[in-house]
Amino acid sequence: MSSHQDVVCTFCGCLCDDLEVEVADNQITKVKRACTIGRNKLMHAQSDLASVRINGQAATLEEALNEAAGILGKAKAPLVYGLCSTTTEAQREAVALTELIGGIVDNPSSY
Amino acid sequence: MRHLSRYSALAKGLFVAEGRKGRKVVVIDVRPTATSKQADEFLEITPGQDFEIATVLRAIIKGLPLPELPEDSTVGGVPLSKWRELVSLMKACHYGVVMFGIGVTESRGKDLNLEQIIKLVGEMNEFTRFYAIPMRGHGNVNGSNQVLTWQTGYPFAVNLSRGYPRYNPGEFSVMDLLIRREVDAALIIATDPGAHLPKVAVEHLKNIPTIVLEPHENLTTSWANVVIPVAPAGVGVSGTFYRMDNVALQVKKLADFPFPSDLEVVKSIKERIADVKDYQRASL
Amino acid sequence: MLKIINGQVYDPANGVSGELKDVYIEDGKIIAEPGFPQNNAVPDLIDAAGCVVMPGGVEIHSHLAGPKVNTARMMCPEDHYDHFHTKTSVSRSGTGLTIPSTFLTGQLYSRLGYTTVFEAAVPALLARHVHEELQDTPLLDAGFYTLMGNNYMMMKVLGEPDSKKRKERLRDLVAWLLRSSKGYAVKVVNPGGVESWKWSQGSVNLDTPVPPFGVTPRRMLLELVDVVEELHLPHSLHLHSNHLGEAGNVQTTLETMRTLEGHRLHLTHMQFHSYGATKSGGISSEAPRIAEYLNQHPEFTCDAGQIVFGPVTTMTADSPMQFHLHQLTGNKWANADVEMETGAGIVPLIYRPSNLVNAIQWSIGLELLLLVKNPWQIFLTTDHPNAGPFTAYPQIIRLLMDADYRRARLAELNPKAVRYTCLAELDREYTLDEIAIITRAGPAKALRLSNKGHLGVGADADVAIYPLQQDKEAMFSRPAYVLKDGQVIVRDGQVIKNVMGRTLFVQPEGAQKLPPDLADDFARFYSIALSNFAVQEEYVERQEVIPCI
Repeated sequence: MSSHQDVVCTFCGCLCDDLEVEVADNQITKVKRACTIGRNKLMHAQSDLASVRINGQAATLEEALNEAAGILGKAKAPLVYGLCSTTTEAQREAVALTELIGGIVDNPSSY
Repeated sequence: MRHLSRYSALAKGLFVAEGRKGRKVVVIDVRPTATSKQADEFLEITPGQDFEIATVLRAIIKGLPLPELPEDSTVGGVPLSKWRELVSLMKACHYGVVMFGIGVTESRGKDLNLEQIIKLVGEMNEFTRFYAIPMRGHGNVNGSNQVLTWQTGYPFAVNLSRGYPRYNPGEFSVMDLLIRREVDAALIIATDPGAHLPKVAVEHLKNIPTIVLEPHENLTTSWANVVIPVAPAGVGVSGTFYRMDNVALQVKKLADFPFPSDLEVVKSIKERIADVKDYQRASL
Repeated sequence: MLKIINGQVYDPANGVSGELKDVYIEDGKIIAEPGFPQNNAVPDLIDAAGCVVMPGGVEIHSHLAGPKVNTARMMCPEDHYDHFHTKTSVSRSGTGLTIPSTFLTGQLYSRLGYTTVFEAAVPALLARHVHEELQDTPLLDAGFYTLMGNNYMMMKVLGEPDSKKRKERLRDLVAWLLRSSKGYAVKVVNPGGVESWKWSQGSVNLDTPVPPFGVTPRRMLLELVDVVEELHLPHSLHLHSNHLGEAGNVQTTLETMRTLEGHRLHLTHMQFHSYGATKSGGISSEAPRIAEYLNQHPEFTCDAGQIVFGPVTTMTADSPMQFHLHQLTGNKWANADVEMETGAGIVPLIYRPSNLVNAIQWSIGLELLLLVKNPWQIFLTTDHPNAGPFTAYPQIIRLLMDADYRRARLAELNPKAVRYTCLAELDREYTLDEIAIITRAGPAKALRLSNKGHLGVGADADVAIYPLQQDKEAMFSRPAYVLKDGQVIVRDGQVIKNVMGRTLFVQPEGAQKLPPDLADDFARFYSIALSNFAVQEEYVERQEVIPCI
């Protein structure tokens, strides 16, 4: 079991960074000091995971990446949207991708 | 949820060592909330009057006459005298902060309400130190504003179709684009429009090829054309998040996930397209 | 190997002044002329006939990345709408006239022949943001200065009565703040004045005790210059003095310099600190007094902070100054307090030649540049984007090199300006040698960047090649070639290759941790955990640690 100190909660814009999280066998087993929502988010982070799919059918990651590239490369007016619960490292790439495909990029602060 | 205890009302600071006792908390809202129960004063207002209230507050702060408003009248459902008391309280404090939420921008007046609040806070600095902090919902929505701004000059609603950034909220913002059916494909990253956007906007997303990068099954993954699971930030991957007051923190990786990160997926898609378009990879 | 031939080389750090000389480059470095016989490899050639060859430009003071710059970008979309740059196959798009987006900032600097830049003011708490933006600022090596002049822990340590203990604690704290933020130098902005304003108190003089610990700016400066020397930091203390922009502030500026005589010190944007006061409360030029003082004191360096007419976006950690400017102009204003460390304010502004104050300010900057005799003591800056955008450097170079042009511009100013200035009497014209000093060799020396600002053996192969022209503005606006680490990144003023530069920072010796009492204060008063404070290695992927020796 390992215990992580001063963990940053990524749920809301408060980013409380004093959480303590215990992990055993790669499973989060205990979350201390978080609020109810933050704790639930972390405790359930590893369940109900999505699977790779193309049009509802199971696919490999490689197939999905090619399909995604095909769709976005062909689109005339693609939208890149969201970005609000991911890292700035990913956001920076997302803007680069939008520029490459000549799209529009937006996040939930526009409405 | 820990805003009051960790950062605002209850926090013990260098100059407010007594915490909650050393502070005055006034809540303005259209209905009682968990926060209003903890306030020294709760001003329950009628919905849709934010602009009027902020304008009258500005006039009182500046000491302007209000000839149209008799002293016994109400503004936003609250007696004028209460608003005068609030201004006296604000002017008497050493250091005040207005924390405003999304409700202000979603009621009638929208961004104009915000403009009034920002001006009000600026003008309060003639008397004492005053600040405004927007309450941000999603963990790194501020980060996305920051990144878009440093890369393109604009915080959201950026159109890159001409090869340079153009900014026009109301035209290039997600809701307008979807309702007017102006986009023909979508890449959704780390949000759940199926749950958050109005039905008419979601309908258009369902009609166009939509790709979703998301750790968990949600309302959008159920119908999206391409679902690519990713490791959640701050659990399965580390990276940078921006707090609502612009402090950037590195979030940690706590556990292994069988998925790549958003970053890796977006980069991989980008390089697949770039190779076709023959760009110098290093320049992207 | 790459060989630059037929160029007139200006390399003042090595005493080379316009000689026809070949420059040899290999593996990103300047190398000696290879002996004969050479191996079979035929070197790539750049024919610099009719051109001057200089080291890449070194920017010593600019606000180009980080929280205040980004807040300014956000609050001023009007700065961007008409100023956009389309993506190319090698570079990203961008917008902005006075506050360009990150990719554009890198491109615009390199298109002027600059290859190294320093962001001038960064709160340690927000350093991570600056490093992120620098990762998106291509074509340049870059670093920043860490703000300390209104830092709570700093003031607490300075309040320590035992002088020996105080010195030790201060040295450890400065080293820790620099290491934590991955900064390059110690920056002090309006020492004590920002904290005083947070308390709604007035501006401070050198001997004003500043709440909460009663430390005076004089003590702070005296102790900090010592510590900077003791830590062997490559750059001196980088100081934005008290009373920026105020009529009569020459007294404070001179007093500050007298206090620190004998120490290495860099005074930034000197133009804003060289004002006399007229009877009606306006400003007049005291540039001659400041220059005379600097001419006697080679230990000091400064940069100009030259005004450029047109729109600017003022931004500084000097938040009380910015509030004053907002009240004065009625222009929009943003302000931020950075909890335990500092503050910042932003106000967009337009400088006009018809405005008397602006005309005097413009003259003062040029007077300083012309009256300070030793070009190794004064460097070209516009305090970007406060006094003007850095893209105006070629215009300022022409003003310095061409006295007729300067007089013609002076004649267009508010006619009253000549009453309060002496610019009309100055005939000096800068030489290309002197331009090379104030734009690259001098700043590199003041920053003690031994691989920058010169073309001697072992230097980084950052090179700018300008076609010789009568119109020096045109000449310096459009280099024929710019090389970064030996690679051609700009050809005829256009970016042709994208490369990423390195982050430059220092790792001075000193305690690796805060002492228990400060760690306790941190835990109680900072809004983040101490363990989340220091900037992690991931933020400086391409790095160069400059030694403290």
